Amino acid sequence: MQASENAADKNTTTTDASVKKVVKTAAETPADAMANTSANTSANSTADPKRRWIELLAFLVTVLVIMCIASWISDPIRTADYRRLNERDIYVGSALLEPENSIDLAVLGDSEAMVLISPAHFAEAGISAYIIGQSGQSTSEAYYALKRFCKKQDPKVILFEPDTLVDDSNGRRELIEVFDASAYELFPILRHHGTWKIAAGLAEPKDMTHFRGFAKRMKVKSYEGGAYMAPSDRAEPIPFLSRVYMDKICRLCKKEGIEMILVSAPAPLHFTYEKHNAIAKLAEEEGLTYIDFNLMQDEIGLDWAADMLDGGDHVNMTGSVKMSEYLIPYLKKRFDLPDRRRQIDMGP
Amino acid sequence: MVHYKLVFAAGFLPIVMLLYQIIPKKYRWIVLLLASLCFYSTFSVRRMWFPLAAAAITWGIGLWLGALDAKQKKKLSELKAQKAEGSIPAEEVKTRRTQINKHSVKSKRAVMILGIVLLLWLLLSVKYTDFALENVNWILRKLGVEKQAAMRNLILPLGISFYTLQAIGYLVDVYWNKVTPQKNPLKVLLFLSFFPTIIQGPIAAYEQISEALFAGNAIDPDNLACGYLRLGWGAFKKLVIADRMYPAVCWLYYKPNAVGGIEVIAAAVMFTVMEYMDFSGCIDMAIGIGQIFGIRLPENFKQPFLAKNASEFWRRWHISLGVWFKTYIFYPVSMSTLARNWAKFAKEKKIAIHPTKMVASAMALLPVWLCNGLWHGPKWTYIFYGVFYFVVILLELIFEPLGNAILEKCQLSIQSKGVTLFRVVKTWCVIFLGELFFEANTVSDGFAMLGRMFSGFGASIQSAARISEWGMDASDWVIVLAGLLVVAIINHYREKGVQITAVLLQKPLALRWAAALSLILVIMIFGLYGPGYQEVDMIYAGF
Repeated sequence: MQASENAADKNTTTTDASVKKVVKTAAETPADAMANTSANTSANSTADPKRRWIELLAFLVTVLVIMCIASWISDPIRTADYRRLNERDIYVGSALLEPENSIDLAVLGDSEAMVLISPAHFAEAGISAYIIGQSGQSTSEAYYALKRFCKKQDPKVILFEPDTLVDDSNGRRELIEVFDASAYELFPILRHHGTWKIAAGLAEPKDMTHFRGFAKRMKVKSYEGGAYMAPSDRAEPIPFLSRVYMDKICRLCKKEGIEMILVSAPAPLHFTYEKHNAIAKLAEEEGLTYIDFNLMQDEIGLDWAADMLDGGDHVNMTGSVKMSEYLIPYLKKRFDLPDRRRQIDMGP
Repeated sequence: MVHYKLVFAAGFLPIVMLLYQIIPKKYRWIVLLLASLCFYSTFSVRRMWFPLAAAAITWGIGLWLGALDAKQKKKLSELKAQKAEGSIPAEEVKTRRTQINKHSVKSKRAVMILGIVLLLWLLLSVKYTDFALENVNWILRKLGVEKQAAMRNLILPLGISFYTLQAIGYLVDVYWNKVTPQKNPLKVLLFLSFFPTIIQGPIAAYEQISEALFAGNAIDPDNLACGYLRLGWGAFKKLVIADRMYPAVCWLYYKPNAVGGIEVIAAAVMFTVMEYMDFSGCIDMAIGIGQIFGIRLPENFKQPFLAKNASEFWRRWHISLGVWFKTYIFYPVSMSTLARNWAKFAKEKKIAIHPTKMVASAMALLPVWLCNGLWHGPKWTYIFYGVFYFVVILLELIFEPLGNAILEKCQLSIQSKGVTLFRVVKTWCVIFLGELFFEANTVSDGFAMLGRMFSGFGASIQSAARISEWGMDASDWVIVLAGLLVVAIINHYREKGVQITAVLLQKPLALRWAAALSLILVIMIFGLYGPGYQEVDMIYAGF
């Protein structure tokens, strides 16, 4: 027994020594490197390649299983530990902290969605509204945000700000974004891993006090560029995967009995008539209503000198109020929304 | 898309591997080329013409050099035949051979210079135009001229500083007959734009990687395992350590005139460590990806903080850049007519060997370090950084005999542990000082920080108490320090010549799996990635 152990030790030592030798003699010069180029490590391997492939496959499966288990254990949505959600999901998280089925209207989209309406004005009118947008939210992210939101809320109406569909930079990025969004959905640990400090009691959860997802900005920087919606017949292309996820959002809305309306916020710095045409065409194909505030400046009394936040990219607080004042009567007339004036808590 | 992104490691790379494996061996390099172009396009489609143009120039000039070489050989063989026939007298054969060789070298050199000029024009036009204009404007202002040139604000195409050096190296190698010119332009394009190296190297010589790059050898399971392990190791260094240090480094460099003495030291040390973790981590990833396809890319780091002097540091830090400058600038300048004339002059005037050597070294080192500084970017801090190392290395050479004499007098061996430790610590001071200026906004900011290192020590106690404001909490410090300890242990074994991945591959299954799973879990939980995190750009990708 002792002898066999010694022999085993000896073998291990020999193997390690031989590995070191191979490594030490491995090429340092370009010429040597060429001689070893195609066989970096395989020269060291003594095992059957077939066995190695099976091992690799088994390892991959093990990794996936571990990720599934870790995700299941740590998923803040499953455990309803919404304060441990990823910082990017802070608005969805805070919406989920609201009483069940207490929100009747949700707003989806990128930063344009975060200033589309003023939930406080909606609350005054008795409509329980919440913005669950994210800065730079992609269509795939919007889909997953809505899915998460519907787990606890039963909205009647969704306002979708479609800027993300026609954002010039999204086309090239969309495959990567869809991959990431799907992976994070499949393995929530990848999305929420950063909250380990909260789980370990080393950090406090982020303050979720805000205005129901509203980016309340009082700053004024006027738009001075003049008319920007020159009529055109051309339509901006909508990237393929964005269109796929838009379909998924529409299907989810139908399944949940939600009415979706597309609403474009005024953004003279980057919005064009071609983008309007693209969204209008999509609305027609999907049978959706499309409200474009870029064409309604006079109707809502938008003042480029007073209602813009950053020179024409986003509206400020007064701009949001003007859009809210248009949307509230429109939505009340069209939908039978319950009056929740006394139930809505707008926070401190 | 960068190498440490999930979409790359779990999406792009497996697809490329699958396509590579199922395609016949002969065409596998095409998969690598298409993957490289696809990878580049995720950064910019518009600027893709830069690598395409560089490849076209490199390929065309390379073939031209090859044609001139073939012409020379043909003429020489004709001369040989004429000599054998006896149609030319023997004395004339010698004269004619010299003429042919001289003429050929002259035309080859002209063609090579044309290629280098074109490649440098591509690089300079995007990288240095604004820097030149800024300096012209400064001179105009000093001369009282009101008119100022408008900045062009050009965006630097990805990897241009790296593949330009590879392309120039290839042309010089063809000129030196070290490599045969590549006839296929797409293969030249692959050599320059290979997706693991395009972002920030390592800068590989054509003869180092071409054979494996075009061989199309099947993916080997051991190479795959080791490659992914190295990729993970690089991601650990970048996402767990370097990016976690980033807020503190930003804070420390944000107001160079406001930080205290201890904070200046912390800034220099932390930036150096972060830069090492970031750059070496990304190089580990590149090497790992190359290994998956059986391509051995050159190592770029060899435990740089164990260097005993500045010269050795540069043989351990960004090795591929150092080797490039040594091969294509230092040696040619050392062999130039100017250097030869100096040696001749010194011999005639009977100047002592040491000063003769010093002047010769200075002649060859000055262009190397100026180019090194300028290569990093169009900033005076980088030029200062290059000149700083030129001065330090020259001083080391000048005082080497004196140092040896002192050691001899004190009866100390240069190999002794105490002396080695002293030399290593001295080199650290040089490294940290260099990096202090390297990262400073301007040279004067660098000097301001240096000044505060000494004058601001009175407020050091107060400034040290501000550590909580640096953007790293206690758990961040624990993770960074634990991570650095792991890196130090691995580097210790690497210094001893142990290749960790290869050794690990020989260990029992349980141990191998435990190591790999630990690495994955640590990156997965403690890595700074995903939504909610502001991505930290790779430092050298900006060069």
